[in-house]
Amino acid sequence: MEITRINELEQIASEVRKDIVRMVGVARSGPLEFPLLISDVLVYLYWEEMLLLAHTPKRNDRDRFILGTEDGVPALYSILARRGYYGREELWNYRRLGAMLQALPDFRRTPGIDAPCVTSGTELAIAAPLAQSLGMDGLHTRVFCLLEDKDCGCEDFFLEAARCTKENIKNIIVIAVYKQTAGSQSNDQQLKCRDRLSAYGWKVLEMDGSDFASMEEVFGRLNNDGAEPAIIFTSIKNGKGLSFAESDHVRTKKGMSIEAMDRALEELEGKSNG
Amino acid sequence: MDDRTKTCTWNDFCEHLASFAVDEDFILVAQEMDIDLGPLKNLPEEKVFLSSVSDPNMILNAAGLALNGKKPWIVGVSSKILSRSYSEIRESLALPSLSVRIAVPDGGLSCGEEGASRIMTEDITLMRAMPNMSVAVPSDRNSVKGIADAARRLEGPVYIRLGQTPLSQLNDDPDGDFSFGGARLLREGTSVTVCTCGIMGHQALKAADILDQQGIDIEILDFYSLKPFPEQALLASVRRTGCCVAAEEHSCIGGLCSATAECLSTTYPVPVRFVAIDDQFVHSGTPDELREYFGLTWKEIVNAAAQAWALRRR
Repeated sequence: MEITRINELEQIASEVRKDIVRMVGVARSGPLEFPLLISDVLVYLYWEEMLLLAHTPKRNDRDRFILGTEDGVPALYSILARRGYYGREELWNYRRLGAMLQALPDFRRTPGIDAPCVTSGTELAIAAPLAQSLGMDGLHTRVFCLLEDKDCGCEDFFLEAARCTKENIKNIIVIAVYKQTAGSQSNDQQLKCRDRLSAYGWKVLEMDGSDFASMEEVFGRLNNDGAEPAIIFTSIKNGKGLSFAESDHVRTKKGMSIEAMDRALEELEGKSNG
Repeated sequence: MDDRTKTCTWNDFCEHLASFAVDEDFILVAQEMDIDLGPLKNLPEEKVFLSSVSDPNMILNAAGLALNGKKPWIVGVSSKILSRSYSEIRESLALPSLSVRIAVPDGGLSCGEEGASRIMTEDITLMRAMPNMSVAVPSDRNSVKGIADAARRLEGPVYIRLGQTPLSQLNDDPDGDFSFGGARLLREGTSVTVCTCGIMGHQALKAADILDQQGIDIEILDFYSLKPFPEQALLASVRRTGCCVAAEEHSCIGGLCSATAECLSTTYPVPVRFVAIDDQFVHSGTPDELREYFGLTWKEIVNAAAQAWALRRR
């Protein structure tokens, strides 16, 4: 990927992060930490990887994106607005009564939302039959499913993962996000998960979710093969070096004050300019 | 009617559902070795989606298929589908109003031998209280066909409660009109309105003969659609009779009894009596034993109708 393109994507991701802070700040509620973590990954998917057209959001041969964690919703809303599915002014009504952007995506009302976001069960159980059904209809579309890596350890996830290989579902890509803190390594549960998925016949990959070049390299490998379902364990630097991402209101999801929002925006502004 | 001509609603449903396989968007969602699928076992491979052994996953699988325009029919045991997967039904089917139909073969006390953990007497309560969900309880072969056809056309999630008890035909109108929000008149009368669903319609017809001898001429309505609830059918009857009995093979909380009381208390208050299972778990036993033990027979309907009739305003 050319350096100018990387710069462009980083600029978009920076704007997305500012939108996330503004919308959560204005709403005075909502998760902040996880949306900030996944904004680079979503920017890469929506600008570089997925086949989609914002003006025809229901086109059948589009790639699908399924968000498997409610904590990531503000990032998805911000991405869809930037991608042209709806106006950015919708973001400032996030979580308000009657607004299009509800706390959990309203699948029928919000353009660009491909599936309901469920808070229980594994979203892979929605993504896998959708991918299977699209394949049976002769469509070469892919289904991307973003999960937190802790959601990849439950038995329901493995049952569905096993069914994917049994049914020969190839067009599914799971992105399992985990927070990389200083000196941290993959934990035992994640290692077991990787081994088990490899044994089922999944392609298991690793990428840096803060580095667009790493993402391009991993998705390039996938697109060349594409013979089996894939999971990409995606490490993301905690807070991306932003001090406010470590603060209490971010971690506890209690909503931030206007002052805290202004400080966060200043910090983001400084980071994107320098 | 000869016992040999009786059929259970689950078998009637499987027979009829098999004919839907011609629909391009039809797909059956089930788990391997879970229930007897009867003629559904012979469906083409591409029309059957075999889910993993996880019950919540089965619900989510159906949601995934519906997202690609399919119209899935989930079949499975009520205690597993409804209680273990309640939040998945709520969030992935009802909230986005996906066109997924859930049919259970073991409604009411028809699998009584399986015991309290398996017998759900609160299934209608759970499904009725869920926004966007439609609920139906067929009572014979004709209503099974009519309700399945109506569910096939309906947009949004549907819950259909079926049973294993052999039942005769309630009336001889094979082309009867069944639609969600409708009710069926089983017997005209002027003294007491008896609201029934499922197997209790058959018991009410038996009770009618006894009550006739006492000079009480009951009108029997089969409320096969519990949600949307056919309020106008109930009110039209009660305005003539002035009293009401609701009878169902279900807990007295949240089912037909509650729907009847909710409607009458706000619109046209009259004396109402319930024939239903009290707020308790049931025991294991044969279905007929259990119906006798928990007071779900024609005898209780006779008593309730006589009481309601005595209480009505002259």
